[in-house]
Amino acid sequence: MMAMDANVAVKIARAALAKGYKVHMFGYGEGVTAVKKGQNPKRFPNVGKELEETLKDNVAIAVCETCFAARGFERGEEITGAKVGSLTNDLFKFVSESDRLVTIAR
Amino acid sequence: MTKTAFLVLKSPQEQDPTHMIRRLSEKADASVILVEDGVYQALMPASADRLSKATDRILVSREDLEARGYAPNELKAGNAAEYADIVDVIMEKTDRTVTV
Repeated sequence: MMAMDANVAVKIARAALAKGYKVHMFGYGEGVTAVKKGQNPKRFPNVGKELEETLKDNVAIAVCETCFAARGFERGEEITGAKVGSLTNDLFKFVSESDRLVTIAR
Repeated sequence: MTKTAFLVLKSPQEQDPTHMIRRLSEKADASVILVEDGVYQALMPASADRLSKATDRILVSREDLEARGYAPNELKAGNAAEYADIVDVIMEKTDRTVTV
């Protein structure tokens, strides 16, 4: 997931929330960068802040710990409310609890 | 057959999604959702024609279309859609979503 992909994921999540659906979001690969705290883009949307806003709507957000560490991030660098978790626990749980799975990937 | 939503994020310069669409779905059961650079699929005549032959339902993200300087009346295939419409297709009108 690139930054642009994360923006699309947020838009779909918000539209789903507005319709009353429950939403889980999981980031892996480059997608983990979406939850990095302190993002400060100059010319495009701040996906970190958008995800923080989305978290207020009771959305569960988790990212792959291995992918997070591989990019030099440490626990505590994620936005408040996001979980640095795992594919095997969190993604499995999200998928098993969901009626639809939408993958935003290139 | 399973009703399938195909989410397309890439431009026709990067990918022709119709091979996958045809392989996985009958025309009547396929819905195509174009977001990000995927919106160019409905703007370029050749790719728009290919898509129209692969599916009867093409949703083009209005937001992503306008972000690239195009208007809905410039579409060669499909219709401009809000993200709320896209969620309806994913959740209510199809059984699964495949990202191409």
